[in-house]
Amino acid sequence: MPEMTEPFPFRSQNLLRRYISRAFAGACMLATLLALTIMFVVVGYMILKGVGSLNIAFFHNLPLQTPMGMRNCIIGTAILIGLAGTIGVPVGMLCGIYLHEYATKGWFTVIIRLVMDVLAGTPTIILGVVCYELIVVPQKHFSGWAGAIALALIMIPIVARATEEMLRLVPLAAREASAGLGASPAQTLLRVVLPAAKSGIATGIMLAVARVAGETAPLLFTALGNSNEVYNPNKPYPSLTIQIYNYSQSADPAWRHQAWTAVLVLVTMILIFSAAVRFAIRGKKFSQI
Amino acid sequence: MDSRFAVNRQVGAVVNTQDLSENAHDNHHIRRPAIQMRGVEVYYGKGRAVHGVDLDVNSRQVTAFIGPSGCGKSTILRCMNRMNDLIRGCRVRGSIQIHGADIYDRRTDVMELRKRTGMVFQKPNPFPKTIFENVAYPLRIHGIRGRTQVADKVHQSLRMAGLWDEVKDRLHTSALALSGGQQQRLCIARAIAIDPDVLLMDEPCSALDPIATKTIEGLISDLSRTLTVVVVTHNMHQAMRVAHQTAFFFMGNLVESGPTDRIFNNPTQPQTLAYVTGQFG
Ligand SMILES: Nc1ncnc2c1ncn2[C@@H]1O[C@H](COP(=O)(O)OP(=O)(O)OP(=O)(O)O)[C@@H](O)[C@H]1O
Ligand SMILES: [Mg+2]
Repeated sequence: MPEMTEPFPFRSQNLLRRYISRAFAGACMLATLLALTIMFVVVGYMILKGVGSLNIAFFHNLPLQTPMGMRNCIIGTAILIGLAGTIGVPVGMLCGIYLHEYATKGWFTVIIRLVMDVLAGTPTIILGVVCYELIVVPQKHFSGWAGAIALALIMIPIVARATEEMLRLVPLAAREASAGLGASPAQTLLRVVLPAAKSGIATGIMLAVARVAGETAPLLFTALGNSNEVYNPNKPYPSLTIQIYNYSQSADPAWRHQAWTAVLVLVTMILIFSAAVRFAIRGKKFSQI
Repeated sequence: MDSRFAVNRQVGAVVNTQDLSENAHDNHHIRRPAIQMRGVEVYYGKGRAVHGVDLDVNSRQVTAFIGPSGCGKSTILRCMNRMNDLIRGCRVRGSIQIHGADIYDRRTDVMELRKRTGMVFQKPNPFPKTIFENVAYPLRIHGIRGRTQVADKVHQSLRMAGLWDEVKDRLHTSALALSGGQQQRLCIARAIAIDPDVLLMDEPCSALDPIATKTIEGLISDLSRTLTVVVVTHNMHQAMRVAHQTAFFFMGNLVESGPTDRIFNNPTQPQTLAYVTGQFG
């Protein structure tokens, strides 16, 4: 062994720096663990409580039949979200496209952005009350349309913002390549820019859908809920979240179990939808050009 | 080539700007101008990037734009297919005529102009589509739909760009998997697919190795038999190899233009001399 006459040259000069660095990494890990634990508890509790009443009847029967079921609410929620998306997604996307592609620096743009921000930050119950005043009161009845519009209002700013942000990420080089070949602005947008931004926008839409799927307050003022099998949007409309809200306050434990099962089904529906969207846009991540 | 520079250095000592400024732009070499620029000024916001450029570009020849970084070569080039329209706050004054028509005229359809004035960018910018779809894109957007017609044109363009043999077995795979040099040739194929009259190239070889560069230079020479090529380059040897005419820009001004040979061997302006002999830039 050669003798070390001098101290080791790469000895740490600043131990504090090392400790701080380790402490920081540890804090990040701890927080992640905590979040994961809470998630597992919530999901586990949901499954534990909900799985008891999970049977064929839940999907097959109506709330007033025995054994109880929520077929109408499951279908109602799906249609409600479909209607809301049919209104909210195109409007939101067009708003986002307008804001990024066409808007100039003027008062009109400032106002649109302001409205979008306000809309995005508004508690959803307020949107429910607004739709109640503007649609339900004049029509003199609750309706699926009113509910769908309330949900669409929640979706629009989310989709618009996601679209705008994703368009911003498409590099100028892609637009120039297309424009340089004589493409019209619309052709460039539809054939190059939107496909490039596609997966990001789809993620935004997915978030918006997941967001409104769980909305209850605005529906209480608009769709109201329905225990019968009614799918005409001009009528008070069935929805899982409203049913959960109503049943969870019941004194009857059987109803409360139904509410838990509904929660489980709703979360699973959102999960399946998200997975389906992710699958549809898999591997089509935008590549840098 | 180095001996030419040696001669130039001696001339540099006696150059007198005043006496020779007359000869700086010997336009009499331009017989069939494809592009004519008169008093072109370009502003980015309030700042002026290009000051009064008068230049003729000969038809079916290669014209090289040289000059130090930031002197406005790209800016001028991007005026010729109105690519600057995409940049907010960019304004162009003066007149640019291509085949006798003022491209900044109100009646000009920018899409039609760009269709006939192809552009190749410094960084290869293929679309994230297949090789085939990249070349078919300009055909499709200009309304060419027939399957065989599109396929034939794609084939022909890839052949012209010298890429066909390398990609014929993988036409329907992603263009992004190609090497940089192949991507740039793909972009050239894409640009010539709709038969432009003019091809504008902004440092098309700056991201490529010497062998890919050679390939593209050969391609430029071939293409100039049928169309007008303007190529921006930082590589003076490249300008000497491919260009019939050369224009030297400095700080937003066109300092000197003429046959490549004369610009490099017998420049009249001291800045040109200094630049081509590598004393600055
Ligand atoms: N989009 C822009 N906005 C503002 N100024 C710009 C813009 N593009 C270019 N300029 C300015 O215009 C001048 C000329 O730029 P240009 O890109 O034409 O130079 P260049 O000769 O092509 O340089 P290089 O050889 O580095 O590519 C520069 O001073 C540059 O800062
Ligand atoms: Mg440039």
